[in-house]
Amino acid sequence: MARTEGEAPDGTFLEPARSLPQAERAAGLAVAGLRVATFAQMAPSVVTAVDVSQRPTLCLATWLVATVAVVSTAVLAVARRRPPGPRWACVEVTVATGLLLAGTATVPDAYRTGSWVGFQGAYTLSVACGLLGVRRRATWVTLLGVLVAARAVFVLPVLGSGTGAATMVGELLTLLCLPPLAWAGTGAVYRIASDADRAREYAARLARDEEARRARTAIHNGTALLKLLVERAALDPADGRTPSQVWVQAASEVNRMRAYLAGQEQLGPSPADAAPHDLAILVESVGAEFADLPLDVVPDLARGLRLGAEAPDVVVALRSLLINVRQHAEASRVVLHAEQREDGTGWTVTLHDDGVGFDLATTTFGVGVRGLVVDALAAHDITTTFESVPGLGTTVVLRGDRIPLVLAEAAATTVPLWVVPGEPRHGRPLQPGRRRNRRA
Amino acid sequence: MNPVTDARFSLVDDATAVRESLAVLMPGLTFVSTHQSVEDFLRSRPVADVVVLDLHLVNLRQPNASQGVAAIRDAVDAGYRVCVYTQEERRFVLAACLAAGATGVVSKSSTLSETAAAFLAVSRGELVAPPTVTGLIEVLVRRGRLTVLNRRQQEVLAGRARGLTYAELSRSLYLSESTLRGYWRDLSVVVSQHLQESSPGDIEHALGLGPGDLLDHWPAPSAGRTDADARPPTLPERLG
Repeated sequence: MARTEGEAPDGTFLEPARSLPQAERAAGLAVAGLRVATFAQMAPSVVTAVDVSQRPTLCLATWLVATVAVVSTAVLAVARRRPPGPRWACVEVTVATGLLLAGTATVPDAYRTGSWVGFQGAYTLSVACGLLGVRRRATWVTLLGVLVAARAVFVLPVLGSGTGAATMVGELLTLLCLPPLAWAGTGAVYRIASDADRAREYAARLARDEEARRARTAIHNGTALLKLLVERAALDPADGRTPSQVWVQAASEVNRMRAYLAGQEQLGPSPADAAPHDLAILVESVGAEFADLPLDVVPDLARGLRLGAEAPDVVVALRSLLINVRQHAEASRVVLHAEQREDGTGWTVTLHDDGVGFDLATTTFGVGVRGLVVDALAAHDITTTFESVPGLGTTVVLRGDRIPLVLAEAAATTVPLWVVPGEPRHGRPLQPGRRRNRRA
Repeated sequence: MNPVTDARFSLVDDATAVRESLAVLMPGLTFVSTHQSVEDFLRSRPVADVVVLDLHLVNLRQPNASQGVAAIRDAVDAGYRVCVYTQEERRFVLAACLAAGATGVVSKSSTLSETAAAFLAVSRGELVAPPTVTGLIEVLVRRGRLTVLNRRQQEVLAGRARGLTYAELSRSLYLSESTLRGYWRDLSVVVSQHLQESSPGDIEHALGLGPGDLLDHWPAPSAGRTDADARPPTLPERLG
């Protein structure tokens, strides 16, 4: 069975790998390999170099210094898991420059180019290509410029030969072309890796937010019900008055919370989230959960109108709103009305109570209404409108503008011959994330 | 003079406790008589603007009493305005009460203040029905069965079907509550007439119900009454 990214063989999920450190490690290994490879190419020529040198001792010393520098750089790059930094780069460039200048005394003119006897040329190129740990452009250009100048001094005697000028230009262009390619290529890889890390962090943050939303969805309604039961129990320890429907719903919510904790939460009305749900049946079923409320469900104008994937969130939203009514409204009449709009462009669910109402201007949204109603429904392009007047009651309107894709076949008798203009509503559409709401 | 305070009510309910207590619990209303059956009520023919009628009147003491839509028809045919006061909550049964000629349907689970307000509204000729029944009327309008309503009446109907009060409708429609009540009264006449003249089959078709679904509840279409038949007896007529 294929495993998803970050999944261990035992099914657990590991901390997701980061791309930038991996890119830096690869660059460090490249630097170490480049230096070791250069040294490997140099090594066979050491005896010859000493033999042909006018100053064998100094020549041998330059080879020893180069060897120490190569080994040190390779070890450092491997140990740090990234290319050596700017300070070490300065040391390297200084050493390379010193070797080039010393080479003017130890390497015969005929061996300055095209020969590993005069290893300084290839060594310089290796150093220049290995300046990957220097990410400040000015520093890098300066270091490269020093190397180019020292290299020019080193090959200056070649100018006296027949093809000297062309060879010298070629040598310098090599130094001016390859290191920039390596440096720019490494920078591009670093940026891609950084972008990947940022994208991964963004995805992780979205996942955390979604998980938090799911947690709120799974827990909020249950918490509200438990709070209601606790309050009633405090008022009446014997509590023979709490409607059985409240206990049934509390048990249902507890099961939902346990299912969430077990990673099996199903927040909608049925396991088939994506299956269409008749809006009329949906509001009737939600209304049946609140038999303790003075609730009238008026679903007739929504018969045959099918909701799709948004149905579970509509159910959760209605449940949350009705719990709010139960907790706060003190209503003597609650009406849950659903309809397909007369122009056929969508549907509207209206929840009205004649309770105490509240001031929209001063009331702040809580987790339930903000997260489970406004934000959750906005994800399906469903707008939520609140209208409330203290003392008169509250009206919440859920408005889905998505044209239903499926109409029940039985709707042949219920396809509306729309003749009534839509009832005027004057509430304010509430945008997702707005921080104003009534309660809980 | 406030016509509301002059409204006279007669109560028909087989429950003694209700008959004895309702007038006491609603001191603002004038109950001129109470009766345990429609037959007793019709024999007395009290001078009343509204008869408050329980839907279920048969019991061991009066097993043959008229009840349901038949009792409503009897009271309406006698010229009374009927307000059904019942524990019945099935909306098709309640709608059938309106089709039988009742002006209002009030639940016994309503609060006393709501109940009193509903009785007074019926006395003014306003249709009183729970939102579930108003929703059925809204369906009839949407389906084109009731086409004589004007835009304002339709707006008031839509608001009432959603449970909005006149005060809330007044804020959203920018009309006074009295104006809205006027629209509702006019609408009530049209709706009552339509329901009384419609056959069960017509209503079933309009609501998308199966054939025969309403036969057990719905009264047969009324043959129509003259204006003289439709008015309650005046005090001089009652006295002799």
